[in-house]
Amino acid sequence: MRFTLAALLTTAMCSPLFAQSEPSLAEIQARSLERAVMEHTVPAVERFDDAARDLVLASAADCTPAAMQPAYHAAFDAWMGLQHLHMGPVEENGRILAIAFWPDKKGMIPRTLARAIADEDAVVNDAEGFSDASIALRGLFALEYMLFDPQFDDYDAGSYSCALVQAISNDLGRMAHAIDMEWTEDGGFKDTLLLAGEAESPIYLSQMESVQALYTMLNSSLENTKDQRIGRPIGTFERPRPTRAEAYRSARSERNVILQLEAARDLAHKLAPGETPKTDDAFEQTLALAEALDDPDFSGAADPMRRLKIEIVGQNIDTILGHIANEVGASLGVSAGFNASDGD
Amino acid sequence: MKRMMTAMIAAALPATAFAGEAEVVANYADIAEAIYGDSLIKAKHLDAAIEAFVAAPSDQTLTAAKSAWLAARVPYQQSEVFRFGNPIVDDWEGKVNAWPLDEGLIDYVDAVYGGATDENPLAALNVIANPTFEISGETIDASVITPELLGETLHEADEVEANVATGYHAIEFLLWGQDLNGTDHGAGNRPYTDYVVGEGCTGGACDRRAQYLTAATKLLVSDLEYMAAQWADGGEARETVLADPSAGITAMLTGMGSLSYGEQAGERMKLGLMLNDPEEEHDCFSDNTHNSHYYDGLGIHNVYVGQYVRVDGTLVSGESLQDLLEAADPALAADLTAAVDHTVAELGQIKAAAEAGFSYDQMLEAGNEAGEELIMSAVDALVAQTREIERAVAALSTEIEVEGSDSLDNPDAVFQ
Repeated sequence: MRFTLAALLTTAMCSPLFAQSEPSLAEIQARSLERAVMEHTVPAVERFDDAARDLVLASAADCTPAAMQPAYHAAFDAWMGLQHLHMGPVEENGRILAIAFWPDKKGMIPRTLARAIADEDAVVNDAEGFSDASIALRGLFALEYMLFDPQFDDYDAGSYSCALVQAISNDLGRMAHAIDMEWTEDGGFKDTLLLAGEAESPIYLSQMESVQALYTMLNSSLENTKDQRIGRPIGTFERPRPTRAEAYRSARSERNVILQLEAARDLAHKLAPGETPKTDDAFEQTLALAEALDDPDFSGAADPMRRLKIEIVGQNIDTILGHIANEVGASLGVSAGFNASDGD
Repeated sequence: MKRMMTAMIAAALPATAFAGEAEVVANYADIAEAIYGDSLIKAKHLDAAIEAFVAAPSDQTLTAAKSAWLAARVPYQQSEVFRFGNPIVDDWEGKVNAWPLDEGLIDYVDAVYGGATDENPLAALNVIANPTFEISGETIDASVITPELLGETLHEADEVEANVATGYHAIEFLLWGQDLNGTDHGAGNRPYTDYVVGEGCTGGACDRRAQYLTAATKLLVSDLEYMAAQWADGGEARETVLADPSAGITAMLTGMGSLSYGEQAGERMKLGLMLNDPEEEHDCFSDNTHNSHYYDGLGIHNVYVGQYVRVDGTLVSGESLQDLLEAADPALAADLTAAVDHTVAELGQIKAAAEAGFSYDQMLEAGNEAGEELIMSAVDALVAQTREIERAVAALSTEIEVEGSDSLDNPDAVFQ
């Protein structure tokens, strides 16, 4: 019933007959929530599920690096459309960490992979056991080492490394499918968001809280891109750190920034009750600057001029955040809550 | 610190101040003064115990020093809830409680530790063994290990956060040594002979190790003196929250929420569990992690209910956030009370199991279902509590503050 009502309200808004009636804040929030959940979050979980399934199929067909790389990139692309939704099934069971453990400040991934390969750890033959293994052995960043790092990427079909790559892929496929199901099924997380206080087991007590949760994700994802994806490699002027860039081994550092900005722009549009001209301009300008970097792995962070250009992308994200607060947050009556990056 | 939560919501709320805010923040400042004062008292006890230990190293004096360290953690961990809402604390706390650390910077380590890493070229520097060394191309004279050397040159050397040269965890490592038991029971087991000067010295450079331990402890005492003064009458931290009680209320809730969710539930508990890595324990050398988690949780509880039991048993109490919330929204107050009580109970279960012999590193072992259940229940409680804190922010917030940016009015400014 609720969905029908939301649909009617949308129709009413578009009709000149009702042009005079001012929707209440609750109605505005309900419509934004419906759009964001159905047109942003649901396609995001479905795309990641599809891409992860292709990754599983690719690893079964040919597990060697050159053959696997396109499916790896496609899966990572799809993940960048979802990774900002740090909630519900994505957060459940620590999946977000299992799918993408980064930054790996202590070099746990190469150490753990090397140990598993040296010991030929039988956990790769046991899907359930693998899903309990250390996150340093799992997910997109473990796969990146296997497919792109010279320490790991020289293996043959039929080797232990091949079985490990297949186990990582299968585990990703399993998690992506579970996220999709748990999000989209009847009574799933989409309903937790949409129905809010009337959901079967509510997490959000009102639709405003659901809207606020999504709005928090929008803000924190942009802050993370600035602080982590950009902040880590640029370090300080005296001490840039290009090897701290995200996914630099597979030359995805710039691409991940761009894809994250695109995902945030889409979420901002779906949440916004009205036009967002300043936000749009800021996204457009930031994306243009990011695309103009032409520095796929952010190795340019080591060069003062190129480092500055990366830094400017981060500064532009601050501009985006300011406009989002005014054009999206204020018109929805919400601002950002706590997020997983609070703390240190 | 990544970000402070700004004051929020408010579009639907009247912009009136709540009665009692001034009393609540005054009590908050009193609690902070007592907690940092207690931390200082216990750090001085630790300093005395360490002086006695290095003067006459033995199993007994080492055990006494370790006991003093464990006692010192009790008030300090309860102070962590003051971090995130108060910039003066957050800017300072890295000196005393930075974690995790690449302990090879400080002293000898086992071969499995490895050497320099991509992230940290100084990960295996070993200052105790080396009176001179290079940092970022500069030669450092460390022939005498002083508090200044530790605080100003070594701490966060080369801009690497894992280069923790000072504070509780550096001292912890110097007392216990590395915990080489993996996810089996057992803490670090450094022999007291690591501090025997002359014949019988183990681990090399025992005199320098004693110098380091003494210097790090003196520095801890002086850093805590500074923070205790900030919360005393006329101190900057106290004046800041008293000057603007509404902002002070937001600071209190920000500290509670940020510690609950991003810091404790995420960084400290869930990540370690999912890595199955005993080095991800917060107090990994001493196996005191169950207590550091518990007292963090108790600290959040303290701020909410406006009470703190001092190390001498006396009670500091007064008007509380709980009182304010009961006036504004009784149902929400009951929910948040239930949530923080539940979290303390869950953290208490971890503490109880650990003290009975099922240590935190055993809980982290891959496939250990009982350990996973204990830790995840506490994580879930912290996350649930965060949602109630967010609701309390909305209910008690009186400010409309739209997050702005310097470049907002002039987006091209960043190119200039």
